[in-house]
Amino acid sequence: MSNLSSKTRRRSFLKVGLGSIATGAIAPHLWIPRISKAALPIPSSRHNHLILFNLDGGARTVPMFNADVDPRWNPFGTQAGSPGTEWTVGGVFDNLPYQDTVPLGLPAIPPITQISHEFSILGTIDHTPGAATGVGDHPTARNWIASGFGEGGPGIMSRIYSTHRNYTEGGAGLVFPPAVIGTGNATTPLGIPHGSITPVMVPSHSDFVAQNGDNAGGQPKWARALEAGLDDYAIKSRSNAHKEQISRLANGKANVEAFRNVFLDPALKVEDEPNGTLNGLTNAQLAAILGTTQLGRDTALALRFLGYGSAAVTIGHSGNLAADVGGWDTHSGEMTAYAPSANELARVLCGLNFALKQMPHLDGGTYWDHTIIAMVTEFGRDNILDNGYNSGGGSDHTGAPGSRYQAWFVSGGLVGKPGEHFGHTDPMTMEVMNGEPVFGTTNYYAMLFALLDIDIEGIWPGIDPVNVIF
Amino acid sequence: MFRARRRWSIAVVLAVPACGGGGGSGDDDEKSDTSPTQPSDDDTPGADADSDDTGGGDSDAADPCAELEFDNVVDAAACPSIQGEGQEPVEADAIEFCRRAFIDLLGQSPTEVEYERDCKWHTKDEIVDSFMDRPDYIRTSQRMWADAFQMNSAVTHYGYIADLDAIAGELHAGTITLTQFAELATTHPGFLGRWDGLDLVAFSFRAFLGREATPAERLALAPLWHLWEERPAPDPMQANAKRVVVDTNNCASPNQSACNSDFWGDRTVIIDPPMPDASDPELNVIDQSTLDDAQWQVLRTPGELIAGQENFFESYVDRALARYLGYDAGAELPLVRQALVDLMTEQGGNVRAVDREILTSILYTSTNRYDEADAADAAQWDPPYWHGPIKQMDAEDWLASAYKLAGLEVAGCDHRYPEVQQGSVGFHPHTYPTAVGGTAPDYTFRDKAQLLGGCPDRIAQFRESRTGLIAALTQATLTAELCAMASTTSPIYPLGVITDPTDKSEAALWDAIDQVYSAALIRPVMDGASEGAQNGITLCRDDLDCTPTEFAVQACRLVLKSADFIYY
Repeated sequence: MSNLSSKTRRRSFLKVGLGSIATGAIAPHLWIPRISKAALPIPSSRHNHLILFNLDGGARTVPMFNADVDPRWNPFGTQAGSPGTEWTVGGVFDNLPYQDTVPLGLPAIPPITQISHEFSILGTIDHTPGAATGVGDHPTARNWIASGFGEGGPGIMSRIYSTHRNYTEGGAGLVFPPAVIGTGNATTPLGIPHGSITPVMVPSHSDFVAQNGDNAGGQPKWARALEAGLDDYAIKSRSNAHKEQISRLANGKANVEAFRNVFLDPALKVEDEPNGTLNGLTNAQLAAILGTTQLGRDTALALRFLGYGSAAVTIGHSGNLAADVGGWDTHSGEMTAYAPSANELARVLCGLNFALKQMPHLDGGTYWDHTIIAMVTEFGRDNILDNGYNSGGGSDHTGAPGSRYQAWFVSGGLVGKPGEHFGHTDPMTMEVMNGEPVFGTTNYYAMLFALLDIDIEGIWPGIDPVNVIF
Repeated sequence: MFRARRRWSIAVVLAVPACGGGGGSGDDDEKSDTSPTQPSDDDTPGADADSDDTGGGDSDAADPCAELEFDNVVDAAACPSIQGEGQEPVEADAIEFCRRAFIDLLGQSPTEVEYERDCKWHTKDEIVDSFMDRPDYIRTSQRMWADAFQMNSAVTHYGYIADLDAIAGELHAGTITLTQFAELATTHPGFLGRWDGLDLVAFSFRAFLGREATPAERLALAPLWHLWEERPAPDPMQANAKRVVVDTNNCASPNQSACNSDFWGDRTVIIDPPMPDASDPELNVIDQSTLDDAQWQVLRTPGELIAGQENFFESYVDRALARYLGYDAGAELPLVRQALVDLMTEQGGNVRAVDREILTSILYTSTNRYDEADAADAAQWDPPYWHGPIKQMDAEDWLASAYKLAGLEVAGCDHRYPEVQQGSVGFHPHTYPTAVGGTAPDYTFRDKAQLLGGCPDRIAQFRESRTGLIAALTQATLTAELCAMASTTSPIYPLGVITDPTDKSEAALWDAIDQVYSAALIRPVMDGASEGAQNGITLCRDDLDCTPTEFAVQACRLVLKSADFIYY
């Protein structure tokens, strides 16, 4: 099928399709992994959602989520988690409830130490399981986290857009596309187009307001027709490769038209319209729940996109920019930058835990029951001295065990074994301990895609999804 | 229903005056390279190129490339993959080529006036030479290096950045070679002030070898930069400034091995401490500005080694091919890459020679209008070198072009300083306009460009070409603002194309859209787009709310964000 016919198909479903409403009643089913030995079921449903945090630059995850290791690997110590927590909570996290919600009549938001039993940890995430060394360079690592392939390719959010049945067959009403929020070098590749398919790419919640303008790109019907006529010829008169390229522009314009009413909703102005309401929460409440950092606001916008039917949203977190190098890529300045970055993230995770449980979902229950909250980052950190840092007060990434084996969290109501820790590393060497599993990044993505009821065999043939958390 | 209008044959309209072709003026012996062959604007622009595409006629014929003479090494090297495959790419007409070169080399789309002045009467070679002699070519090239080095005075002293940027300018002015540039840049304080430790290796590789350094390379080569450090040095115009220094203590006995690398030969970068017996180690720290020539010669070892790598020239060639062609021509056409490397070697590392050779080659001067049957499998698509290139305009270039057409002063971004810093006496020098009523830089243009991936801060944002829903939404928002600001003196003034506000005839609306389109794209709406455009005109005529004035205003918006304008 040509890219043009793909576009036509997409446009027809991006408009509210009456016939598609019936699909809203499809019940979740159990996704059975391809290989029987991995026979734990995955609660797959096209009505599930994914919130994916990308810690841009290569975050040192071990001190947060696999903290019971030598001080070289975790210079911040440990602390007790909530009952039912098997993984060791990093001492870097704040442990007092967040009080911003109290003046609004809501309870204080519990800190991560009080809800750690609702997070599972995969402690041996590796881009290249079985390889002699890990990935230590940014471009290769970005390829892995952007596409699930070492050589790169279409971004996973584009893959979701082009393969998720809500978009290919139509969903219950208008389904907002997958979105990438953020501008980091490791975040935007998750939106690398798949052919002419491009997810929604938003620099930030505030830029989104500026991009939206006063009338959300409104055009009279005749102007839209005139514009489409010009663009169609621009596409038609080019080679196939160029047709695909230019079609992205045309598709974007068609989507502006389709989603204009969404863009006009004050709920999407998460900072400027405190009374904007969606899914039972006002923007003022979201600000109190998630905090008012850029990450907090961007996450609020992500919740709005989910509320309009988006299957998946990636939120880039650039960490604390006070670090010399910027973001989580703390080759220097990590001593001062790391704790604020970690707690900025924790604040939002705690807020999400609260917010999703307040948001009723069309399929029953709340968004918490239908959402997985997950993370990726390029690599961890190593090349450090006895004090836990390099000579510049930071840490590097060489692909050695310290940066290779990462500790990623998953949370949300879809996680069947919350609080558990899967995959253990030697606390002194950070090598994987004997008999412990290693989880490939691609397998991890396969798990997330399977949760969204996407056929992963067509994307990553032969790859088994991680399923230990269910 | 198609509009009743004279049929434009672009070939006829443009061939007469343009480029010394057709009319035969000018360079008679370079006709094949310099005189644009004007394709008609019908629906099958590339049809003649492959009318015998299965044609196999060359299977037992003589090598067509052997019968051709080339004065461009790219053309010669590409011939087996183009003419050798039975393809005859059609030359871009004068307008298409003028827009392409104008945007690539000068950073803006030309107006009708600029086309008349700078392109219409000149050959393609003359256009390229003329544009490459302008400061804007230097500026657009400097911007490329500023991105590569991720310049930002929030991290680095503004003076260092300015100096490194000026050296990049010299490279593209042809006064220094690529080898000299690499030797200077990799230990320039503007570079050293941006990166530390292993990143110095990583970003040297990215800038000059076109790839990421492996972890082993980073570890092995980092000692060659081990002497370099920074010290806080608040500047009256940049409170957060640091100065770059050589800390000779880092490699003083017994630590000499910390500054040795045997990765590319046994090399040591050591500067003797000026006061080895001093009790205060800071007395053995030397500011980079006071280093002597002999010391610099030692310190520039990393750049010298990088410039000596086999793929050093190849990296620049690949960068230039991607810059001008928009695809990885170095990988697609390895013979072309090698020919350009050879040329660069011949020319002693002169990047202008490489740029010019690409810009005057068949790969660049061919039209990107091309007829190809739809095919689902990308592996079956024709290769990109069988037709001319197409690229999405950089966000800054698009915005600057739209500003210019709307008659607004193009403020632009200062590519050196995404965010101007300040100190006790004010802001450091920059090229942003000053905000009305104050001394702070006016970031209005920058902020708009950033919405589309331009003017990146290079810390959390990086240059990108955005497409899709939000990019389209942003363009819709920005064009609404700009078209509303256009005035009688603007190149594109929508209200000026309406002679009779009550005339809503088809002819009047066609005239309006043609005029608006011409203001932005130099020619009227192409015939192939007539049917689609006619649909909009018909709908307008049926809509009581669509007045001729409203029609013209909307036309301004949609033309500025049209695929024809954004893709070039």
